[in-house]
Amino acid sequence: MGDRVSDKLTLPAQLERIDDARRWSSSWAREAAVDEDTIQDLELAMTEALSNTIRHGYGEDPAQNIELWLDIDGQRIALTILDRGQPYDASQRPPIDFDAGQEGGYGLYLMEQLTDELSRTPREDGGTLVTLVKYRK
Amino acid sequence: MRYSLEQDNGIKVVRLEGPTDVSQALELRDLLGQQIDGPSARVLVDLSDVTLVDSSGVGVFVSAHRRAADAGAKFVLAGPAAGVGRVFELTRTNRLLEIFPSVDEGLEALRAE
Repeated sequence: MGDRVSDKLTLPAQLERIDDARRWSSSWAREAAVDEDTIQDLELAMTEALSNTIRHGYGEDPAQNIELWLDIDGQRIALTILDRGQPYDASQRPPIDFDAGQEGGYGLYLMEQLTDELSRTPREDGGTLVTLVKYRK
Repeated sequence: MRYSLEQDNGIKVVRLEGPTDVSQALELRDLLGQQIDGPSARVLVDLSDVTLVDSSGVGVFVSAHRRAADAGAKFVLAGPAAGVGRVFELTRTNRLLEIFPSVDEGLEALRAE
């Protein structure tokens, strides 16, 4: 199953840099022999999380930073995303009307569907800690 | 955003490449809007070389579908890899969008229009 991997990445709050985060996490995951389905699910869940953080938390301010931690062991792959932006109250989101052909509002839903564990914790000093976990097959 | 445009017997083929995510959503929306330029437009988006579609990408495709339907034009997606196709299933937008397993099948359907 490969050795344990722990790494940290700091990114500016720019949508164009989400691809860097995907490359970083997937490169480590492939090195740790994580299967491709799991890698793809985590890439998409992370994309949605970072998209929310950059647009809603930071208003796409490139002077702000996001910190990511990746932790892979024999059982799971965990990605933690820390921002210091405006927290978003997920309980206020409207339910998805799947019959309406919505053009948006799928982000958090996809994060829930694509992960085995998902937590979003407001921080006392502002910002949010988001943790995405996939169990290895 | 990496893409190429081709014509196949009057069908506009938009071949996208790499991830289709929030960072390209505005550019993609404009690009597809330009292709859906009237009731005779037939547009196929080739997803064969697309590695990821996020919720913003889904939204752009739903918007293009709606724009085409309003104009009396045709807009289809074709050739998504399994991981890409899954996002349309999870969001159930596969019930609204016309998605063909392969580009050839998509072209054939548009030619029959």
